[in-house]
Amino acid sequence: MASSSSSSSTQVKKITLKAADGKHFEVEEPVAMEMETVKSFFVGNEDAMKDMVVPLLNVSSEHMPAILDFYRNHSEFRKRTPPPPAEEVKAFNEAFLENKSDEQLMEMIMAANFLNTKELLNFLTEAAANRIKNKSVEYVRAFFGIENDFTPEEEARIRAENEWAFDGLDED
Amino acid sequence: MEGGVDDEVGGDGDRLSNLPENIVRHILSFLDSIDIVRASAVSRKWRYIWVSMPYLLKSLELCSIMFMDSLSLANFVSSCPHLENLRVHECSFTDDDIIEITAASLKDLSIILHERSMLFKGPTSREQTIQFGLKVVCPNLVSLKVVSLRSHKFSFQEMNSLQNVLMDFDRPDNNLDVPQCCHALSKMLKGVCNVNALKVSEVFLESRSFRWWTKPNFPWKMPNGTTSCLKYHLKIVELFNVADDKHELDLVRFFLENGYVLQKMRIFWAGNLRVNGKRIYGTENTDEFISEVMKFPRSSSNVALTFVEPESRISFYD
Repeated sequence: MASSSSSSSTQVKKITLKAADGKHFEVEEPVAMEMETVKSFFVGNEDAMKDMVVPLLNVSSEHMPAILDFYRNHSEFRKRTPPPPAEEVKAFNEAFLENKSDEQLMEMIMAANFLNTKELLNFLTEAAANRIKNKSVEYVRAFFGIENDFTPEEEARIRAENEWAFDGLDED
Repeated sequence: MEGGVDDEVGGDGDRLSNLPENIVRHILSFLDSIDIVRASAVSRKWRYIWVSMPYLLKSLELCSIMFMDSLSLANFVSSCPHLENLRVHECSFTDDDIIEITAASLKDLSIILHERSMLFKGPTSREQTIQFGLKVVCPNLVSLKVVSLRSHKFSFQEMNSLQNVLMDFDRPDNNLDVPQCCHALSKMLKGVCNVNALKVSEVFLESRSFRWWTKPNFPWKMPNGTTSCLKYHLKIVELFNVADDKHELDLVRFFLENGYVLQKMRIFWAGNLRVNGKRIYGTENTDEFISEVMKFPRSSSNVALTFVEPESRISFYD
């Protein structure tokens, strides 16, 4: 990123973000402003100086590099003319999700929700949806970490009501 | 990776079920309805999660519902981006406002309002006076059916895909008067085929059909000058409940004279209505009516005219 033009990169303002576990991240201002939560920290807050550290209470430092990478790449995709080919965007998105466990995905969804960035949240929630598409009820429970609080009779009745929906599922 | 999920469940248990409901709904919104149905068996909290997801709906039938205002229907419809079929049957509204249906995805819209005989059981008993209007803005609508509309306050916009229209006005003597009704008809013919539609319509509109439910002793005074709909698109006209009165002849004449691309016209005779042996309404002299019709000038060289007896008539609502 910064290597592309060293003269301008020195002029780009940086904003310091503090992850939940206290780790600091220096981020170029336009990238930081992709996050509505960061933006609203400065906009409408006259006392806030650009050199203040913005605390991001719900984002663990583990996910910060990936999330910032997403913003950088996607804002570049948006600005580029002509727009990047769909395959390039798809390749980036697939690489982004590769090796991410279900749990990591959920944590990032919570982070995107907290950071209030629609693009990232949409992307991650759709990814989560794809992982539970056509999966069994048991799989979905495990995925979200939900305990089954139905009695066996209740569950049997609910399944019987819509039997058709429980057939022909993908293997867990 | 799979082991990780199991560990999680065995570990701090319900941690992720604390996922905010808006996020759960957001995730589910990407799934098919069959996945959502299955999701209702996940847990008590998820049992009725689909109820709060109107945007899943493709087909919706609302029967005998009383809306406190026409806005609530409009808002509900606009929160369903996938809605393709909407039926609003025998529903009532407690205000006189315009019912606005704006839905880009909608293909089939059917609004059947109360018959006059239906009693309005609302907080106010204004059944006779309520004349809400209708505004339909549905660029992909193919089929439109409006029955018992009691007001001429209606408008159709962006209806470039529309192929089938069925309109029936309820015209109690005390309210929609004759000029209003004529105005309504000409407005409708204009509204379903505006200038923009003209450009695309010759490609897209294969068979535009038109059904009109006639009212007894109703003098039709048709607007002079034809609309683009009649000139270029209208191929089928069906007139229902036709008795042998002069005003209906005028209506037939109007379509024959101005329907340049008309292919088929079917006239369904009204059944006879007798009280104490005295005919109060119905068809007496169909032969005369037919011979009159045959004399009318026609703009289309190729119209198949059919007259249908009441016994064999198909339902207007088909």
